[in-house]
Amino acid sequence: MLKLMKYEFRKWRTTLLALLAGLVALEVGFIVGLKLDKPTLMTVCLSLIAVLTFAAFAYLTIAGIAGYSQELREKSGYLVFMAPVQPISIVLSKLVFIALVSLASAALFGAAGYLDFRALLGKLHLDTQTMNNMNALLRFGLKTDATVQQILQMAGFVAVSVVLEVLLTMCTAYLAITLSATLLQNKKGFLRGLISIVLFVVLSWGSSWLSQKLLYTRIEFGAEIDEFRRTLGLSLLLNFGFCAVFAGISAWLLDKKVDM
Amino acid sequence: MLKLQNVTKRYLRRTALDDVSLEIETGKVCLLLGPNGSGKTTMMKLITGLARPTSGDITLDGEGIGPATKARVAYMPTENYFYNYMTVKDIGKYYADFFRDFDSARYRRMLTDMELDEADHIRQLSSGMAAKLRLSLALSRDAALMMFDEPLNGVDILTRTQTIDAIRAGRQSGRTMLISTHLVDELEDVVDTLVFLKQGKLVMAGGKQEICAGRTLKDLYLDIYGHGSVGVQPDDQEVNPDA
Repeated sequence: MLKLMKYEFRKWRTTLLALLAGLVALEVGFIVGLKLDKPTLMTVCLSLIAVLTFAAFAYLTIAGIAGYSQELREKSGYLVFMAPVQPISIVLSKLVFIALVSLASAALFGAAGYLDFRALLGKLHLDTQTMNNMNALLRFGLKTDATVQQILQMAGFVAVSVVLEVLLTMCTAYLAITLSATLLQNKKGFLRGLISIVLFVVLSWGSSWLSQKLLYTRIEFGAEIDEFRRTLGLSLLLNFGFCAVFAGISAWLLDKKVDM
Repeated sequence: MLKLQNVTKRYLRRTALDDVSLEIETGKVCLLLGPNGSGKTTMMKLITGLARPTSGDITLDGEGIGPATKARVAYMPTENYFYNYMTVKDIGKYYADFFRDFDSARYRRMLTDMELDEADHIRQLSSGMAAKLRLSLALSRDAALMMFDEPLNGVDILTRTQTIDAIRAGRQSGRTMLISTHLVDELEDVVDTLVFLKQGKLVMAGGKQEICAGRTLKDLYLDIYGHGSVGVQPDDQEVNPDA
């Protein structure tokens, strides 16, 4: 699987370098603005970094899914599917790689944006006031006696939850694409894409419905942090289960049903 | 031994292979013949694992098609199957990474013989150069079963000669080869067994001497697909040149 991931990286090398170059360019612009005391330039660069944080994440995730679909339709897929590897390794190598790079790019852009934001606040002499206001808003919004440590733990859970949501979206998309390739065999074009989208919607709705049925709990403002954490923990386990099942079915279909 | 038992492959609107049963003995060079659309490429893709039979079984030395057999089968398709970002060198590295029987030194020698530059990008290659690259990759492997789909198409006379020489050398080393071609004249003296397909059905299969019976391969081909009236053989047709 690691060898396959190595070749996934090579496939995406140019795109990742382009994104990194974009970030570097914006950071250079921000630093130039910082040194030359140009808040407008700093604000523009920071805004673009914020936009790129989401855009890079979305682009890599969507392109990763589209790339899998393309590989099942085009002859370049022969290279992977002729290799003596288990189909589950093929599926996991693509899933894990794209999930890692899209989250890493969002984290990198986000971290750069956060540091630049602090620098901008410092430049405008607003940092202490702004952070105090943010802390007060946080306490007011939660309406609870939760400690900072508990809040940070919850933030950690939420971060893991986001990662699993991304993985689940990708696993669902992969299964939808593999199912449409199985049903429509060597058909190409618009119909296969349409069927993939329909299957994606059905599978997403199905997994959400099942999650709701199994985990339904009313969470109110002021609810105990522990109960919220327990429910979130169960939700994470369930999402992980869905990921494993969807990836496993995709691999089985690739092994037994899908033609290149 | 490669064995196909009652193999059928159906797509949505057509049957590419219809109840084909065949055995190819180890160490034999088998020519797979038939007009366009007769099922030759489909058969090769089924053996490689790039497609799944609708029904029937395919085994290589008793083992079903899977990662273990993929490690022992070298397949040269007619189409380009490389990623555009790759160079000729990259593809060699890919093969070396995934196929233990890939000989990198032989690959480099073949590239030199075929006048291919390792630094060339795939997108820069002409169709003839890409065909030479596909040949170089397949011939650089010491696979138990080597399959060539139209290996002489789109290449110059020098490369054709090199390919035929390589097939001859492979035959001497005891490798099993399955070759699909329309250029029957050029390969007539290197093959042991013949398999004729027509509209997905097995028409005839057997040792070359036995089937040709004094005719040239070209004449036999024309008899079967041209003005001939040879019908479909019964099932379980075993290819046995010693019969």
